[in-house]
Amino acid sequence: MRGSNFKYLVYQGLNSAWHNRVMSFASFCILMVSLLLVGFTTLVTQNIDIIVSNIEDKNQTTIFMNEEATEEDVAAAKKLLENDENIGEVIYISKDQALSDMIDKVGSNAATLFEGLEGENIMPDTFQVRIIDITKMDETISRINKINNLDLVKVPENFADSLIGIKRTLSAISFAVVVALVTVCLVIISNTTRASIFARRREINIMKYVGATNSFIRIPFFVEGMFIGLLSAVTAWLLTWLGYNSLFDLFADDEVSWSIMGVTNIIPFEDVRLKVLIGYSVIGMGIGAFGSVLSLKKHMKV
Amino acid sequence: MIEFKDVSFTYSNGVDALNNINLRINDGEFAFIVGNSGAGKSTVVKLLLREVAATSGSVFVNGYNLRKIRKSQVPKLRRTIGVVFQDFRLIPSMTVYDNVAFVLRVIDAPRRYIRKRVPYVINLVGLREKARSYPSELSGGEQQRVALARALANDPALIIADEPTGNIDPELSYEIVDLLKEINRCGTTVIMVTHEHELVRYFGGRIINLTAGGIAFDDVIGGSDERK
Repeated sequence: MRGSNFKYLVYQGLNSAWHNRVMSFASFCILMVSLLLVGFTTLVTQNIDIIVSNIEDKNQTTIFMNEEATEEDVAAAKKLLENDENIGEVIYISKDQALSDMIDKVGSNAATLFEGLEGENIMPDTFQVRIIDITKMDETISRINKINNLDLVKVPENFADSLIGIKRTLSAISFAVVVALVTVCLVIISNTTRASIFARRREINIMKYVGATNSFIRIPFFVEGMFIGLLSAVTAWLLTWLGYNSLFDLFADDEVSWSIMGVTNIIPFEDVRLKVLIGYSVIGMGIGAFGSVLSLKKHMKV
Repeated sequence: MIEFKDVSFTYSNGVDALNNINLRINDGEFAFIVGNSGAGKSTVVKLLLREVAATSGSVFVNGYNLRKIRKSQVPKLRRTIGVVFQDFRLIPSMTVYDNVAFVLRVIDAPRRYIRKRVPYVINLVGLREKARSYPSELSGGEQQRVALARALANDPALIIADEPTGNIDPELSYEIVDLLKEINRCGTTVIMVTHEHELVRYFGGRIINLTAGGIAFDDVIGGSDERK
């Protein structure tokens, strides 16, 4: 194809978006609202995920060594814990440290509590670890149980179970919402494009009779769809930016109260704006262009 | 050259539109195809444009065997044919100039050629002053002339005019056929499908009369000089 002809087809695509401005505007609005809904749902889901992860990070498993544990056993246990891929942080509390902490904790009652045990330390060597992925808690605990002279592993099971439950429910809900939104959007957009193309079936029909190839007919529709998709994407992006920043300001104004409710880290829009723009543009232009071209198929059989 | 060899066509609903017809139209001929509604005229046009394929038999148009033609070659076949429809089928959002230039853009013609050829054919159909007008600003006769200019733009070997006078005043009908005759005199094969017997009697020439999917009459008649 000649360059001049390609330019002509691109011009035709843009020109046709203007000529069919009512349908173009309808497609633009539907696509923009769809992008906004999908975008906001994704951003909210990501933020909830971060909040849940923050709570998850606060989990603590305590490992007690028994009385027979030697210094070598403790060192080996420390090494095993530090090398475990699902353990994020290992704090070792020696017997002496544990005793000192206990004395500090009970204060003036210490003399009564430790009566008859002078010179003896009944406190065990202890490790406090943070599990990275609590869904893999059971496997991690079974690895910890292999430690020599291990006495007890104290696991925050209820905490882990609740968090896993919350995470699974949230993921399922957000996935279902996004799938439902995308499906509804695709159906509406496909119908709008079909209506737009139906209104121009005569034009397509004429093109076919004068010997236009299918690609010659498709290019202007493709360009038009991409153009409307891009416009919708940029508008949706600006509105997301404005809307999201308003919510972010609400959070920033009263960070302490939000923090009490467990909402600590909200993703600043600046961190994701490029990703959102790219995502919106790819989805918007993709749906716009392919929606147009797919709807054309029926009218090409002349 | 156009040739139908033992061509039959049955629509998907079981209606037999053409029954075993044989027909040959040589290069440079002018032929009227006449017949009542349902006689098979439109099916002949659809077969010539390869909108449908014959159920049996072979159709040859401008060197293409339409029974064996690949889908990708159909646009190339259509570029050798200029079509004029009863309802003009102009693109309303394009000016007269663009409606005609459009055909040349479809075949990827150089811009310089388009700039030269389009005014020439618009002038040929007598619409030089209307080149910048939109179809909605033209009368029925003028719109049909634009359709004719569009059919001519590509300098096709064959022009098919499917009821070209059906939507215009009777007086203008003669002008349109005059133009088609003029085009034919320059060497282009012209097939005009019509049910207007008065026009056919006036102009005369080769008449192919279709009746119930078969050729009832195929001969040359002399014209009369009396316009109705």
